[in-house]
Amino acid sequence: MKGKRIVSILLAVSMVAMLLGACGGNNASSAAAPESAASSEAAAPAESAAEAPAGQNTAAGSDGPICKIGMISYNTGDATITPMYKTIENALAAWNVEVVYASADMSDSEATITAMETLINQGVDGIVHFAMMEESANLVISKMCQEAGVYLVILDGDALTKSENFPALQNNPYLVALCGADTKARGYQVVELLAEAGCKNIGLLFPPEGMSTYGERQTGAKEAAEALGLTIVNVQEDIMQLVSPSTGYDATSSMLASYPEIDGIAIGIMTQMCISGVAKAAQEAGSVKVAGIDFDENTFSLMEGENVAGFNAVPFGQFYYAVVALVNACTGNPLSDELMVITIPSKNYASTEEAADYYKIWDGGNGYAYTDEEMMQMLKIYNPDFTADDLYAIVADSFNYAAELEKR
Amino acid sequence: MGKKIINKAVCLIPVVILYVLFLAMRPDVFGKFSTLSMVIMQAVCPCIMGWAVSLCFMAGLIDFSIGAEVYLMGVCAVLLSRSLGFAGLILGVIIAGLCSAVLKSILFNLSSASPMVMSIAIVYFYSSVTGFLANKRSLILSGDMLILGKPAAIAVIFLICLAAAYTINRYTVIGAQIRAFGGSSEIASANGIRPFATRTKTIFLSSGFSAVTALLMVSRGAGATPTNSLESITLVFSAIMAFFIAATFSANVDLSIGMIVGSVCFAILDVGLISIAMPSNLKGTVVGICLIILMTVTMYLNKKRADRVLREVCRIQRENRESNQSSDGYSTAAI
Repeated sequence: MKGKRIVSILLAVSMVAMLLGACGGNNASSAAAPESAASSEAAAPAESAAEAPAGQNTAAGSDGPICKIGMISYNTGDATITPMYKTIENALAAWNVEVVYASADMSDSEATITAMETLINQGVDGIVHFAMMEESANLVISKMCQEAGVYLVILDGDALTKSENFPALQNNPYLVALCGADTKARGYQVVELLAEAGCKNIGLLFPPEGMSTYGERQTGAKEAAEALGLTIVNVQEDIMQLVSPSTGYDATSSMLASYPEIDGIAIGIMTQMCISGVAKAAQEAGSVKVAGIDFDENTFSLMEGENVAGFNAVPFGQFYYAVVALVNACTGNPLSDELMVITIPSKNYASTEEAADYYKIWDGGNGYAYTDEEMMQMLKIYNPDFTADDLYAIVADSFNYAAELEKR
Repeated sequence: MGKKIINKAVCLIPVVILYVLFLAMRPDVFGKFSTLSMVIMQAVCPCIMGWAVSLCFMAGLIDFSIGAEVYLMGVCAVLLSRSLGFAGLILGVIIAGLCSAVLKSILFNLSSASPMVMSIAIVYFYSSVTGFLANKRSLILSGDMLILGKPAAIAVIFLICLAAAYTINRYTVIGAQIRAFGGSSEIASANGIRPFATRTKTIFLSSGFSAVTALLMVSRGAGATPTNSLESITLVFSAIMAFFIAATFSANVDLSIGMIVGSVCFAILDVGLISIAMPSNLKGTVVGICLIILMTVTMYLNKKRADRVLREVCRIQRENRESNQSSDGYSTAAI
């Protein structure tokens, strides 16, 4: 009996530790919200809010949060998620938006739908949702939000525009925006890196073409290979091979042993999770080059080696732009009457210096690319003149903007 | 003696069949010594992990947390290696292994919940801790730390682990206690085998093998990465499948040797299916079919052998009965 009590206490302590581990950063951002909103930078936009035309909601005279947004806290090894979330959280804190979290596994549709229900029951005005690989789950979530009158943005949702279910999504007035990098373009660009490195016969470690969210990357890679005169010798579509460096090492060494003519390998997903193993296997095989989609600061050192041709990246703040559209809608000032499709540009990085600059610009993944004042100007509640076209222009200029920021 | 060797060599049949099959399809690949060597190297980590899993299974502890434990140890090792160098790498797996073993011992011994359910809770916990420690980022191991990832080092470590696994299974008291406990914990307890001590020793031994797996995995892959909550269970499933293959050959060879057979079979399949450009979505189907065929054939052969033994026993009993009857008849006649 005593033993069971000890176990219960231990389990409870473990649960609390897990919660703190998973939500530590989030708590900080929630707590920071009022402080950021009270910062001196908020004063200027508040002035322009006074000039808001009739019919538009403004922030003038309100002390509490301007709206309540729900997000899902994911436990994931994907290094790109944390900085993306930090960017969003920084913005929400600056705007004085209340954030509530529910947790789910990124690959678990059922758990995500349950988490969405939890968020809706907490009375959120809007939800930030990562597109699920199972398309039907995205439709269910869209319908749930429509029925509950909760605004929704879908991140990594660019591929949904090509889906046969797109009209159904378009008919949901509460779906504010689909946002994501052009998946096909990213597949194309990563193969360009290998072509520039002099590769002729390449192998792909890519998500399957049929996968709703990332499948188009392989299509893009194949188009690039055809256009640039490269031969795709072998394609491995088992993404479980890319979950760790050792599985990446085994998959690559098997591929290179089976197809010795391969002189370049492109990784189409979860690069940062397997790149060290893939690069090691490529190095052991000789002059095989490796390029991948996404990277993190820990993978910089690999770029110094001769085998890594480079990485393809999108701005860390990519999903921030969707949240701009969401918060505007939640505060009664939608940027557009139609569903916004925000396509994020992507770019290749072929040297350590370039990659380090990228990290510096986006504040080492801490998501401070825009100042609080600049972020305020993107909300109609503070800047009534802000339009959807302005947002599209900022998105198109996101890499140039970053270069500007670096000069300051 | 010759029959004994043939009996033991039977377990090599699936390995030979699979290798010859792929050799026929891709002689340019499977005809090379480098491919054979690669297959063996790829089988080492699953095999050592399989020994960890088999110890727990034999003791009746269905533990799915071994994969998460390996990932946790890997992350700790890489993190400590940054400040302490190569010693940190070793120290990392030892510290994480000890902590994990202590935690699991407490939970498995004191909780009334089934070990399987408890192990899933541990998987979630370890995944969360690993993500927290690694800051949800990949960790790269510098080139000078990769000594243990070289084939010679892997071979030496593997042989040491094999010797340890074989000795534990065949010649140690704890090996016998684990088997007895796994067979029937009530009977084992009645015979003086203490459940707490047996479970604890099993978990510590299993964590030892997990630690070696983690060390080899980070050295081969030149890094470590945190995993999503239940992702690490895939790693355990491969080891469990290898364990089942090993179990089917338990009549021929020791479980520790059978585990090598199982792991090598999977490694051949992995490399072979890539070499014949098998679509990834069909890989699982092929692996499943191979497993079913292997298990069915082995079970059929085992049943045939059992029938033969049974017939032999019946024949001996019949002969004994007949000889007893004839001697009784002789005695009666004498009286």
